[in-house]
Amino acid sequence: MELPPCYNENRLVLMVQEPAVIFSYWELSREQWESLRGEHFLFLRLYISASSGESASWREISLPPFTDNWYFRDVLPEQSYYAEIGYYGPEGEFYPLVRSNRVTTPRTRKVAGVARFLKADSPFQLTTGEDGEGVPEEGYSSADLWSRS
Amino acid sequence: MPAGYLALVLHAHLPFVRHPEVPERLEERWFFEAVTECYIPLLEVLHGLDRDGVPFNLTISLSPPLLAMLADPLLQKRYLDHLEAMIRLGEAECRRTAGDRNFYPLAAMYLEKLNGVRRAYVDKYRGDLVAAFRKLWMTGKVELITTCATHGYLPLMQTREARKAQIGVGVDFFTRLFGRPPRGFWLPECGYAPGVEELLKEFGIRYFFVETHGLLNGNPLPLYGVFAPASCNNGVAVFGRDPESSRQVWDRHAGYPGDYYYREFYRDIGFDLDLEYLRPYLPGGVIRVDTGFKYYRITGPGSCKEPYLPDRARERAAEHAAHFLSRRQQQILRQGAGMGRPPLVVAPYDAELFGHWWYEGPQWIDFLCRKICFDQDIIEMITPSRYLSLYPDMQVVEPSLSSWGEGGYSRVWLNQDNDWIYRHLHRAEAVMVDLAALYPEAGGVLKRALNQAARELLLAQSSDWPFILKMGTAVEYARERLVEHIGRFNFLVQQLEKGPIDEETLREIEYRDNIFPHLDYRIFNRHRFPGRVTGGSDASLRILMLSWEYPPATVGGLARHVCDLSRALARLGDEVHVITGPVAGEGTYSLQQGVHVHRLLPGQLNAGDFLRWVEQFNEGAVELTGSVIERWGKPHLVHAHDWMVGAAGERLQVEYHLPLVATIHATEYGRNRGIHTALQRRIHEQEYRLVQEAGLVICCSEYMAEEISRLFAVGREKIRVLPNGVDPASLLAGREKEPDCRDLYHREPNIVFLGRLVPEKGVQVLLEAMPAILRQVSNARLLVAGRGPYGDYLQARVRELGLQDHVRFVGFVDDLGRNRLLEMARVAVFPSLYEPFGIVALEAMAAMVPVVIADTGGLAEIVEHGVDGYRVPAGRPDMLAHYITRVLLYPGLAVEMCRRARRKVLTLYDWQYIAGETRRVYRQALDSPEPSTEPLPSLPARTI
Repeated sequence: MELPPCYNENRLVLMVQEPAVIFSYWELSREQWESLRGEHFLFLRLYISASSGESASWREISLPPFTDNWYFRDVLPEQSYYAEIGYYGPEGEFYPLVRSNRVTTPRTRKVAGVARFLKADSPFQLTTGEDGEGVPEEGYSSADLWSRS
Repeated sequence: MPAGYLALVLHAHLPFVRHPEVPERLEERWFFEAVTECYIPLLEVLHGLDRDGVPFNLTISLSPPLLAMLADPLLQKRYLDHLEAMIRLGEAECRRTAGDRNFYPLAAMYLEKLNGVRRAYVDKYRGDLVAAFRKLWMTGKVELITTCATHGYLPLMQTREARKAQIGVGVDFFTRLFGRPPRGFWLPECGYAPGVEELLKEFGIRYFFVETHGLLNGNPLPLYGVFAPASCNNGVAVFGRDPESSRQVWDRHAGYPGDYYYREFYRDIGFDLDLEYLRPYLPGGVIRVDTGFKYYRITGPGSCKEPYLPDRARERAAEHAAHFLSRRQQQILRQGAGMGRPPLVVAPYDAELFGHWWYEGPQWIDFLCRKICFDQDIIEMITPSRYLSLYPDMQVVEPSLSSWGEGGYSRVWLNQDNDWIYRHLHRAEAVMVDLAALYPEAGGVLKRALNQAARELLLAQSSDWPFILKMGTAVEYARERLVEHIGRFNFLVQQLEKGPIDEETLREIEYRDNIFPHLDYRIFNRHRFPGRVTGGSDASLRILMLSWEYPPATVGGLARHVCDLSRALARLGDEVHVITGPVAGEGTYSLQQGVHVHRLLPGQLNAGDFLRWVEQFNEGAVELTGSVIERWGKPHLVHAHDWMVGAAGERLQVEYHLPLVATIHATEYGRNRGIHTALQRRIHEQEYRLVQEAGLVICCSEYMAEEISRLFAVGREKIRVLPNGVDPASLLAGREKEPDCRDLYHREPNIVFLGRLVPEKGVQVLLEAMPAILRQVSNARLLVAGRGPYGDYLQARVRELGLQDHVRFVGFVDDLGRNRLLEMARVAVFPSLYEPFGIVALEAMAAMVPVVIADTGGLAEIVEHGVDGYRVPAGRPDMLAHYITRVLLYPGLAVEMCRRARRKVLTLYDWQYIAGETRRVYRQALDSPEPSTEPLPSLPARTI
């Protein structure tokens, strides 16, 4: 049994690997390729979107032929990202063919805040201190142990 | 009272390795070895502790695949065969080593242990280890919990439904086996992604675990760090892993299992002895594998190994238990200061570590439990459930994305060795979710095929496959399993879509992958939680719906919305009472398609002044509700639609202590692009009050959510976005035939616009785009349907641009006219500059017309660019022309989009789905604490 190389669909998907790395994979349908007729170079653009709703192009990759995935290895924690694949028109306009889902990278630091308690008889509030930058703990798991083999 | 607590948690899991199609399969040995080396020794230790009256407490997570294998008759038989072969090997080893001072005692020890395992398995447990675990649970000393159906790694799944199925099927399977639901849940690989707690709660889960930084990077940083459980926003408790106790056991250098006196795992006679001798005990008689006969101790870092000394190793296990205990005591005394409650150390481990990798692990557990219970009184062992019952107060923290894998996130399960699997897994997820929506009530062979497809997807999602691909051992097996399960899934889907279903093949697949016999594919349905054994949130609700209009009285779209929603809720089993205005020809009470409709009397609404009329309406609604409650009982909550019924909603909330949910369909500010008159201000204030007083607010798009949050100064977390629904049947009237996207190949290049002719609908942008479109598609024609104050300007603009031959204004169209227009369209364009939702675009999608829309407001949220339509920046005629031209020139491209768009409307914008989601909002509102009685802050001035 073999898996199909593609599903003949347009799609572009982002996945968060870790706070600094986003993985993307994509596929363009046969009809999409036919409509391009090999006339255009394709680009993969990663956008960072601010909470205000505005977004800015963050990275742009000129896609080498036959690539179907890409790792962005320098993204920022606690940010929202999406991507597009498209090409440039003669006037320099970027025409996206497909747009991805949005992903949010995780926080890598500790944040102070007002403590709220649930189910307490007499609700009380305390504030956590400013601990500054936190370093994620090394993962100790079966993954590490098994890798000894 | 002890100074602190230790919660020892063992997570037991193996992938589902059952191969009925062959007499013997190497990978089944993973399971056999774990039974011999881990599960039976653990059971023996725990039953021994219980027998000796040790008041220990321990939590064990049993994964559904492991449980399925433990309960499987075929594997039970095969295990016994395997065990007997190993006993024969033990006897051969005793003969072979006879007289050897070092090795004979070890061979004899292994033989004795194997005979002991056999006695326990056959005589004591009678082959039923699930019952043995159940018995431990009954003692109250061990708490059993479970994990995802196939140990799927949740953060890398794409859809909520896939996560829901992994959690729900796991909980259901466990509950069926043990006769009671688990209170806790082990997230596979401690993989937490925000939102998982909502699903856990749906299935009755009270607590789960996260890796240390999942809590410490939470919002806010918890006061007690990982030394006390926190509460997610929805009340589900979350326990953070203690890094120090983890390291002592796991650390590859300093951890206990690396002690030089412990048994060396990597020296096994399976690799050391002559193949001829071993042949009868090896898989297929040829493949060298671990046999479990390991005669050396770790000795040191080099390859030179000394013989194993079991008594010395046992002493070390006791010393390590004492060491672990003293460290926990120090830790607890250190942490406990200033906490105001005894700290809790949460120490979770993989159960397979103990006995398999760390041979002395079960002894260590035995020693540790006895020492804690008898040698000291600083620490007590505890289960999470007991801790929560003693200390129910928890700080509310939003945990952060995390896992316990290398790096702390998803690197182990997503990297260049295994990333290729996700394009298959994600597609299968999406297809399964759609199938569950498209076949809400399948029966017979169709149902079997859907259930089996769901099984194949779950089996493919096991976190073990990407893990093995990354680790580089048994890679071929993992690849084969992935290809098989996704392949079988794709095969079944193809048969479901194109038919007929080949029953013989289906039977063969069912026979091979027989896990979860009670699986119901509808768990993948977006709004259903079927076949659940655990319960609580499934009970039907009595809902009081307030709406000033209800069909047949319809002025705006509100009546239709409330009606469709109420009927869909009634179909879900809820008791819906609508309180609404009078209508000619209907009495004060009627039952309409399951919905109880209560109408005010016309005499109650006699004011000439609009605002006074609204007051009368609200007074009447409160009064009418009183008699409804007398007759039908108190509702669970009130759902008010728009400001006009806001006052009644607020009064009912206070008088009857009912949670209030409000839907804001549109705002006065948005409709008028500002507040300009005294009346508008009054309405605006009413909206503000309603939004403030409601426990939760529903609106139709993210865009509206932002607007409401900004205008009425409420937190975004109080607002829920639920789209409006479309009934595809309403788009059929007046058409010649049913929508079929292949018709696009034959249609004239008609571009259709439907909407009011006002500037914000953007028809002028479309006119500007026409010349560029005509340069490429010379016979293109634009049909503009609708009327409005901007019509004259647009007609003039057509003349100025010289487009008279290519643009036709067809005037106002009713539903039939709209349906006919859509039947002629090659593309529908909605170039709005402002649009809260955009139901017409959805109607076009339902009618299988490709859509090009402006990337604005709620409209933008409907279309996924390049997948089910095109989204163009608002006010850009050049971009608009580009995409319209693409759709006109490449019908093939458009056909695919239409298929996807239609499927989306049928599944996502289906009223039944929306009703299910609305119920979820009701549930959240019911769970929220009582609203505060403080006076409202005044309306922020800047919005007026």
